[in-house]
Amino acid sequence: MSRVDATEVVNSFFDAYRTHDVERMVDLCNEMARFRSMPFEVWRKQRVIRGDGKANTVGKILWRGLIESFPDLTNRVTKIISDNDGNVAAEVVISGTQAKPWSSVRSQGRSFQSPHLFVFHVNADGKIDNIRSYSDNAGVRAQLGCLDVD
Amino acid sequence: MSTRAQVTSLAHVRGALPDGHQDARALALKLCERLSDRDSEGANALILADAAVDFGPAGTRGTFSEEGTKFFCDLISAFPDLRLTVHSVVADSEAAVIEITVEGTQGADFLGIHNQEKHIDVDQAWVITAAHGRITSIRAYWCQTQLYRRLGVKRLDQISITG
Repeated sequence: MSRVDATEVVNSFFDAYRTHDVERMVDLCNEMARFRSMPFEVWRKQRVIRGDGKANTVGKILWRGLIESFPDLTNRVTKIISDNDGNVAAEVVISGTQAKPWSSVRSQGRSFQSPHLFVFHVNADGKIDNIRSYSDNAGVRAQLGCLDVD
Repeated sequence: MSTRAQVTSLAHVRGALPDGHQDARALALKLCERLSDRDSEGANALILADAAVDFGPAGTRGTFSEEGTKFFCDLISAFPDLRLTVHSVVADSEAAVIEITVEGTQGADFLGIHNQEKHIDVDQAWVITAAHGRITSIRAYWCQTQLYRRLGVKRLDQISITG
């Protein structure tokens, strides 16, 4: 897959995210595509639950949850870096106004804006087969008025 | 490149340019190597004084000379066994994105967080641009909640109170 094509696939992914078309986001991934949201972790007594799994399971749940809690959720791609091996890194600003609880954060009707970095791999068939995302949940929680770390 | 090994040698690194300058990929890896070696002077030498640095989760933004040198110095001082493990690099001709894990055991206060000798392991991604063999900007992404959780901070507005 050429560099241009991989970048186009990633741009399509964020276009779909912007229109809240989660099915389209998942369609751009292959069935086994891995997804990991680095900031997502829930500490239980015996174990830590991480946002790590497949795009069509864990990814879908997290994206739908965000869209439901932030009905005006949107994104702006600010920079894309790619190589000739299908690797694409995208800097993206995600923003929205809270209307429903999100994780442990109750809604106070506040808005957030959060810089994210996504690292994708697009395979030779033009499908995304790996997504990792980095962002700062502390910044988001503070903007939403929740000052507890957990 | 995709490896979970700590960067110990740059002999294998792609990115050395014919004129002896190094591109963003090589500079990014060298920066990780020097930070892991606790070589703050060596790390500083890779970066232009007026490079734009944005360590957003820590609230550190500005030029490297004003903000970045102190941030790296504090990081090295606070975690005497600091280790940066590089997992992947995505690079084009001007920029590199490195995915790393920053690990260490706290030995001094850091970003206002009292030292309780706790261990951190925080996944991060740094976007590094370069020109003429020097780093011209660094933007870092990580989750500050994860750092706080590992260092015992309970509230975002009371980071000096740990439990």
